[in-house]
Amino acid sequence: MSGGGGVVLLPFFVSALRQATPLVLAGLGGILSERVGVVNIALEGIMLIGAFVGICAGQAAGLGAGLGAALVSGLLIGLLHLMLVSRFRLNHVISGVAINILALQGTTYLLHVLYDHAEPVRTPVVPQTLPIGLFIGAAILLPFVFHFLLYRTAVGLRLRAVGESPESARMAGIDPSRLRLLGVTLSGLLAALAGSYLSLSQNNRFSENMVSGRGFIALAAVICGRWTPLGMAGTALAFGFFDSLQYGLQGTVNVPTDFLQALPYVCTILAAMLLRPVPPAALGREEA
Amino acid sequence: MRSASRVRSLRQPFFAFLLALVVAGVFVWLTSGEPLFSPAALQKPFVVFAAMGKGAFGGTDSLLSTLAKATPLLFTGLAVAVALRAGLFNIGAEGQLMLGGLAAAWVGFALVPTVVRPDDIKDPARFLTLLRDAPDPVAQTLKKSLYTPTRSLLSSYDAARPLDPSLLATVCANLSSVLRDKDYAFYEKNRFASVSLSPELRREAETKPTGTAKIQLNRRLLEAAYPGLFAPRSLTFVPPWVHLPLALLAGALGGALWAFVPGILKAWRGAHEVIVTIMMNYIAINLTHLLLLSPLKDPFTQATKTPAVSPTARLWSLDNGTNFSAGFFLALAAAVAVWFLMRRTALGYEIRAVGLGAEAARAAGVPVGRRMVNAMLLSGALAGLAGAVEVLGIHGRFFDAFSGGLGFDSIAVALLGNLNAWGITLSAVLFGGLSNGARAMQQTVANTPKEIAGIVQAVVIVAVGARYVRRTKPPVTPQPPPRQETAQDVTPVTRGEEARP
Repeated sequence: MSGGGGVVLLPFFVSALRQATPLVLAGLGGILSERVGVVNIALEGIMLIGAFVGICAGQAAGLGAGLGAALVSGLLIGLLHLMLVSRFRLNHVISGVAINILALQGTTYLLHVLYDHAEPVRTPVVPQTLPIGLFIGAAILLPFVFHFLLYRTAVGLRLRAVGESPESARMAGIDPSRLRLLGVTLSGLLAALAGSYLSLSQNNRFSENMVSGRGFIALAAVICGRWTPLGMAGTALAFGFFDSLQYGLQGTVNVPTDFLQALPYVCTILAAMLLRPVPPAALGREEA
Repeated sequence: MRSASRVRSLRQPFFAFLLALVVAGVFVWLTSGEPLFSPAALQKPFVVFAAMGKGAFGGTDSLLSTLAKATPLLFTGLAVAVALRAGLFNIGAEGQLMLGGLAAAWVGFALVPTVVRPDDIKDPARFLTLLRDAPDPVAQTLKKSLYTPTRSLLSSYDAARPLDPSLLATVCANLSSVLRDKDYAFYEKNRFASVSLSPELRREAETKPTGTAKIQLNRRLLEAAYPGLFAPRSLTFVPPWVHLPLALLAGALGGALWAFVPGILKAWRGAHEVIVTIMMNYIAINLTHLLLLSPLKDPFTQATKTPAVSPTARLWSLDNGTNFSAGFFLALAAAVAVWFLMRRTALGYEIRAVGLGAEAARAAGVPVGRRMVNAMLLSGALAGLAGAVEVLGIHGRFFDAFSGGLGFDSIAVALLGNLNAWGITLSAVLFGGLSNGARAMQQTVANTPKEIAGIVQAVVIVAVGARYVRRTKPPVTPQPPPRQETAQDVTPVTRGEEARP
């Protein structure tokens, strides 16, 4: 660990990509949802559900099925969130909180019932994992893809319009509910993708509360990145870098570990304080 | 009229809880592991709920445990409600609770007299040699109870060399810590058989006192065991009616301080408090861990925890495993105080005005930003008190991994309680029962984890807040059929500027 230069830090950069991947994927989900005006703090819960469903289906029918099932589950939970928010007029934050609680308690419950206390005892593991390069590649490419989609296509313009002012969008012939459907379900899908990365690729198992706050760090990246795909991805990469740095330093000095662990959160607060990041104007607003 | 509306206002929470039980029941039925329409599977939800009910309210001990569990929920539920009345989501109750607990622990253990001071000892060399060689039963027990590193430091003591003041200080500090440990039995008949004690002293020792009397006794026994070695000193404790309120105040201040950050950021910079409070929760975990590693750690144990709080700062508690303490009554008092504040004072009125419509309130002259911060400070103080009560009433110290998931639970409590003090009190007892009952049920009913309570909680949150509105969609202006749009038609829009009216 002594000596210097970029060479020493190289493995940290590689590890940073691994750590940042779920953040980027979930962050893209966060951006999509918030850009159409729906606050989504349930990223954490959807990631957890995606991870769990992925393992269950992956055990039963193979890795491909696991990934597919995870994506479907994310889509459905996103749909649930949207329904609660629009049809049942539930406050966006409350809905997100409820989904998070349900996800953590539900997956822990099912983990015990289906695995730990099953007869005979089963473990939530899969024998092989999905190639990690697939996910890292997606995490590198998708921000650019979504940047293009969001800023250079008609669909993206309409999406953003809905998040800024649904009333104006309606007057221009855009149906906000359809675009919200698109945004929020895709949001769930991406979050579940991030979750399945954790259980089917980075590791080969599901463990209780395995997301441990990454969903909230992704949200922090969305805010620090000013709700843009590229800004978010860059922030997520930085967070991933500090995360891997913290693992590397563990065992040597204790103090930096706590600082580095708290860094993403402190950064977000500093960003909120100094940068005044402005969310989409109609974010969280009840439908007109 | 007033009672009618109160009954009506109970309706939605009541049905919400009922719905949650039904949903959870269906979930239990589906995951029972038995064939779906077998009697075992169909009966299981009822078995589970019966077990939970019994665990929560069936018997004095269960009831007391439930009330004990309800205590922090009541505090944090009130905290969330106060903030929500101002329109602010305080999800940071957990972090505020931790800071409050740590602050209370610090005031609790810092204001305590040192039992053995280096300048008490008339002959340091003899003292250290005595402890090192432990020739008599009293010295033996003292030596054995020392922290291992201290003991090895002591064993290398050489009377011939000049005295190392830091060694003396460490040994004295360790000894003080031992002699004020409430679980350490210094006096034993045989151990002190050959020590000449005055009749009153021996009689007092036989009665096995507790608390500050015990610590005082330990000091006198030490002096008596080695006459001439210690300068007699009577220990002065901070009186409980000063120490305890001070510690509680520290808890409230710690929580309030932690809630100040999201409050001021919201008022000044418009930062969304949901995100900031969630961030502050995580930072709190790291900050308290950091403080527990070094300045606030008990130096004579390996575990990451603070030294024990002085008996003068402890809340009364029933020592029967139910964790029930005077904290419950404090929580009730807090509920009354919150009700009074919100309903009978100008401050409460203004806070509620901010929550009902910030712009209208501002037009009416309410200092909106300041009231938001006030609400967050109050909210944080309540959550901090929850932490203080946990420390001072139950654990007697602060340690790592202190609370768990309380932040989100408190939201459920506040919402089910309809944001008013009485509703929240009932709601806290209900959720306390849910949690307690689920834990008990897990022991008795096979294969049903306690997390079922969390599922009830989540559905309650949704059911309380949901309003089904049959709504006709406002019309979308029909547009002429579009010509083939190409990407060139869409110029990049600078986010925010164009769409804002």
